[in-house]
Amino acid sequence: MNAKQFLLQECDNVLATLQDVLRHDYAAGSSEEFYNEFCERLKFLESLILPVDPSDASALGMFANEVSLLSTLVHRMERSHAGEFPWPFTEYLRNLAEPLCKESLPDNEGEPIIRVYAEGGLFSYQINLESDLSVLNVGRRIFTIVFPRTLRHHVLLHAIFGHEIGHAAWTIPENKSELRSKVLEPLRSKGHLNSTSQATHWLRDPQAPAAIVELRKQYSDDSYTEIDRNQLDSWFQEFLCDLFGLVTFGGSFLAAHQTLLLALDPSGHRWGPYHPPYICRKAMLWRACKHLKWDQFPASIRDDKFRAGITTFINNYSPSTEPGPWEDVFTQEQVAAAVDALIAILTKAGTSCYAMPDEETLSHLVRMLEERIPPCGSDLSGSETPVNRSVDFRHILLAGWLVADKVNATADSAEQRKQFLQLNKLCEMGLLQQRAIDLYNSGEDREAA
Amino acid sequence: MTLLSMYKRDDSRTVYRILAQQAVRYFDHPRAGTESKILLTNLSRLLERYRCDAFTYDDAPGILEVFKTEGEELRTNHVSAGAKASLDVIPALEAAHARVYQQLPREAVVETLKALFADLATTAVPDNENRREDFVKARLFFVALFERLEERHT
Repeated sequence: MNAKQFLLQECDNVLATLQDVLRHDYAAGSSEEFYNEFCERLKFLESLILPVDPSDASALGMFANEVSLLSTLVHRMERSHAGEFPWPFTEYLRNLAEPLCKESLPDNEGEPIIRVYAEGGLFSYQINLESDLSVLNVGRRIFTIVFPRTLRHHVLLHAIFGHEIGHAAWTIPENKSELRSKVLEPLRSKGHLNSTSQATHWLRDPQAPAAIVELRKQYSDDSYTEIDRNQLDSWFQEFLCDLFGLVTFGGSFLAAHQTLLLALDPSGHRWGPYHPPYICRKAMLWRACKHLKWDQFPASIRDDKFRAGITTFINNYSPSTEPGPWEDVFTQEQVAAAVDALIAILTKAGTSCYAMPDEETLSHLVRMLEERIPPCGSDLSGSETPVNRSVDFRHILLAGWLVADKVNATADSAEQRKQFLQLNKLCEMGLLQQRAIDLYNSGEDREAA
Repeated sequence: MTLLSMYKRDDSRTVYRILAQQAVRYFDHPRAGTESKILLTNLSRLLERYRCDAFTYDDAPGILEVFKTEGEELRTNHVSAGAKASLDVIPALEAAHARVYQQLPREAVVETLKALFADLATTAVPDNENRREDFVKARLFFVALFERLEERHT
C-alpha cells in the first residue's frame, strides 16, 4: 500500500468513526452542523487526494496532516459529553465569543462552529483554533473550548476563558488588523518591551527582583534571557488577551487569573517562550482597573459592611499600592489607550463589555448565595405574579467571588475548600436558572411585540 | 514516545499551490456543489488575510501552559504565536496581484475577487460584460499564483 492509498483508506476510516461516534449522546446545539461540516471536509479532501501524483511528497505529507487533524476532531467530538462540562456557563461563553469569531464570508461560511469538551490536567484551559495557514480543508471554522475535567463545576475559575476569547478573536484577519494597530500599537510604542534588545536588557537588569535574579541563575543558558521577535510577539498577544479577559469578564477574571496562575507559579515571576512573567501581567491589569475606575467602585456602595467586603476583594486582586518599577512595563497612558481601543472594537463587533453592577443587584446576588440559594434574577418575594429580572451572568460570578473571599477570611482550610466548591455549584445553578429566566423573558417580549 | 517525531513545517505553499490549481480548473469549468463552495471559502479566507496582512499562525498555547516543564517549548506541535508567517504565500500573492491587477490597490483587488466569488456561488458563469472581464482576470490571477507557488516545487 503506498502513501496515497493509505491516506484514502484512512479517509474511509475517519468517516466510519464519525458514524460510530454519532450513535452516542452528545451535547445538543451544534452536533448536526459539526457533522455536516465534517462530511464536507472529508469529501473535499478525498477529491483533492485522488488526482495527486504519488510522487508529490510535499502534497502527500500535507494531506497526511489533514487526515490526522480530522481524526483528532472526531475524537474530540466523541469526548464532548454534556455531563463533563458546565454547559450553562458554556452557553454564556459562546454568546460572548461568537460575534468575535465571525468572518466576512458568503452564506453562513463565516459563522464559527463552537464545540466543547473536557480534558485532563490543569493546563487544559484553552480554545483550540483553526487558523493555521498550512491547513487546507477549512469550510466553517471549528473552535473547540477545552475545560479541565476536574474543574467541571468551578464556574468562578472559568472566567479565565475571557483571556482565551482574545486568542480566538485574534485569528480573524479583520480583528487582528484592528487589534494590532489600535490595541497593541500603544502598548508597544515605548517602555522596556519596546524592542527585543530593550526587552533582553530589561530581563537581564541587575536591579530586577530577587526572584528574577534567582531564575536567571537557574536558567544559566543565555538563550533563556535573550528575547527574540517571536517571543516578544507572543508576550504581547498574552498581554492583549489579558485585557480581553478583563474587559469581557471584569472582576471575576482578575480573581480567576490570580488564583490559577499563582497556583501554578506561586512566586509569579517565571516566564516562558509564550508568556511574560505574571507580575508584569498583574501590573498591567492593575493599571487597566485604575483606568476603568474599578478602584473607586466601593465608594459607590452605601452599605458599610457590603462596601468593606468589596474593598477587600479589590485589594486582594488589584492592590492599592503601585506595582514595582521592574514589572511595571507600561505607563498609565499606554494601558488606557489600549483598553479604550479594545472596548471600542468589542462594542463594534457586538460583544458586550463588562460593566460593574449596581448595589441593589450585587447585594441581592450575594444575599442569595449567603442563604445557599442559586444567585440569579428570580423574584423570591412570594408574589403570585413574580417579576424575574435579567441579570448579567458576570455579576453572578462576581457575587460568587465576593462570598468566597468572605469565607476565606473566616473559615479554616478544609472548610474553605468545601465552601468554595459549594459556591461554585450554586453559581453554576444560578447561571442555569438565569438562562431559563432570560429565555422566558425573551419569549414574552416577542409575544408582546 | 510517539511513532515519529518531526519538526512542524510550513505547508502553506503546498496548500495554496493546490488551491490555486483547483481555482484555475474551477474557472475553466465552473460548477456548483460542496467542493466548489469549500474551495471558494478557502480562497476568500486567503484574500481576507491578504487584505489585513494577517499571515501568521495563531496556535497559541493555553493560558496555563507557561508552567509546563522545561523543554516543553520544543514540542513539535507548538509554534510560538506569530512565529510562523507564511513567507512563501505573501510574495506569490503580491506577484500575482502585480501581474494581473498592476496598480490597483490591494483592498480593491480583494473586493473584486470576493464579489466575483459571491456571484459564482449563485450563478456559475457571469452574465454581464464587466463580470466576464472580472472572471477572466480572476482566472489569470490564480494562474499567476499557481505558477509562482509551483516554481520551487518543480
